[in-house]
Amino acid sequence: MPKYVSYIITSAVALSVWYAVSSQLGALLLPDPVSVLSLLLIEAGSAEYWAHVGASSWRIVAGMGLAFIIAVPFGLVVGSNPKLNKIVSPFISMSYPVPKIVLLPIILLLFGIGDLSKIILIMLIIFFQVFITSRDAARNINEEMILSFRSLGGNKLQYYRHIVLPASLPGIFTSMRLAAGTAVAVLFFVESISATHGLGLYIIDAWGRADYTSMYVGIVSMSLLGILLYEFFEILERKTCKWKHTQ
Amino acid sequence: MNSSKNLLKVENLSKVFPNGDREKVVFSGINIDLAEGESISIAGQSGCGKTTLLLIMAGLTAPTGGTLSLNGKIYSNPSSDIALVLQDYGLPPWKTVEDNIRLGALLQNIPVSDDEINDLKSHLKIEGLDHLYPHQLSGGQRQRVAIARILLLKPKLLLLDEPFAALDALTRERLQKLLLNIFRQRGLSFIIVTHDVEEASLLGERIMVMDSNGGGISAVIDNPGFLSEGYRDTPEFFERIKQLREVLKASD
Ligand SMILES: Nc1ncnc2c1ncn2[C@@H]1O[C@H](COP(=O)(O)OP(=O)(O)OP(=O)(O)O)[C@@H](O)[C@H]1O
Ligand SMILES: [Mg+2]
Repeated sequence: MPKYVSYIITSAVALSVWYAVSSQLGALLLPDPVSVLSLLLIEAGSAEYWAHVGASSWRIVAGMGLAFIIAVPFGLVVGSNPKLNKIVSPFISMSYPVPKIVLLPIILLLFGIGDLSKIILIMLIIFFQVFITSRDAARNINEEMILSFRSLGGNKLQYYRHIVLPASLPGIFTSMRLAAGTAVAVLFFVESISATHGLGLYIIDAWGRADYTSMYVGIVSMSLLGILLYEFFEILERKTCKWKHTQ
Repeated sequence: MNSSKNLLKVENLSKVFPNGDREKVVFSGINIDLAEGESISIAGQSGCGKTTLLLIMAGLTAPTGGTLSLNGKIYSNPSSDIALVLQDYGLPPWKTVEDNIRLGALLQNIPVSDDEINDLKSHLKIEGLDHLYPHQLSGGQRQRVAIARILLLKPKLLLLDEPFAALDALTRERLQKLLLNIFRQRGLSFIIVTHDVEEASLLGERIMVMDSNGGGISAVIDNPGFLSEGYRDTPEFFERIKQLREVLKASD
């Protein structure tokens, strides 16, 4: 079954369930999908709506992108060097379980209430998941493959390029997909605290005005953002890890 | 073969691994002289240090004592004249057959012509597999890709660690024949490590037996007829196997 067909079927089921539940609960608690989606269509014609979407997209893409760019090389290098790993890993084990979200006040103090603090918080939370996946992937590379590679004349840099990176990519993309969900949640949180634009603000604002149809437009938009990111990493994985998708 | 030029010289080699607060002597006092165009099989029981010895000769692991020299030059790092084939082949699963074959040449920046590669593929009967990944091949095909990959580098010495152990009997026999063919045609030398007495007797001009108690080489058996046609079915071959089995028992 092609991917888009399964998406159509899944959406149809979700919309039917939504419709059924909303007719039970009443439009005040859960507006029906038709009115939400038609308002979404109207909103899609307004520059203001796109300013919210743009602000949110920028923050999440920048946060996840930064986490990726820093965590992947760092994780791969640490995982490939046992001595470095011995030094670094205790710090990671200690700081990973700390809920980074409680650092928000400090980050706001340090980086102001603009985009930078939001991006940094998203980056910080995603960083650990991606770092740990990359490090463990690099650490678990088959010993015989490493020896064969070295005896073929491969140097350290070539080792990263031909062995460590390709071996780790599938896991890295899986962690980025999972991170997309986390990142959207963090995004909502930071945007509901302070923002002049953003889908989080859009939702909170509609909620404050008791405009539930608009609120659901914001919720649907934020979900779509998460789905898009998730799919993006899935496509990237399929393009770069062809060997994983052969029988 | 005494008249040929010496290729590899192993002198007084030993390896000790730390084992808790004590030390484990894997082997000591190993001396090997390998002439150009000569083959040696090294037989020994599991855990006697065969893989360790091979990795040291490949320049991948440092010995605790002793020296290695190739063509009279002392070495301690991997060299493009020495190729290593390990039991599970070490083919990166994300590289196609074609890319795997070209990997060594790519890493060492050695130009290779398409003709050269095609000749090798047809010799090793791995044509038409170019775009497959290692997991889509049979064990025997994978082993031949690993062999193609190193032959492309034109090594002088092949080091093989139980390369056929995971294959079925017929495939193993075919690959053993192939190895001997390559050996004859290309005039290269090889050292094969195995715990299989038949394989050791089939492939080695000399058979060395490794001691299981950290001693080193406990016996050397000459095997002059190993290249003769149909050697596998001769009384000489069976005699060799019997002899080797007895020596192995004694070295335990
Ligand atoms: N990196 C290491 N650290 C400590 N001990 C090791 C290490 N590598 C090997 N050994 C020990 O050295 C001994 C020889 O190992 P080796 O792998 O060379 O044996 P082998 O003859 O190849 O065995 P097999 O036939 O099972 O492959 C074993 O006792 C093993 O436990
Ligand atoms: Mg071994």
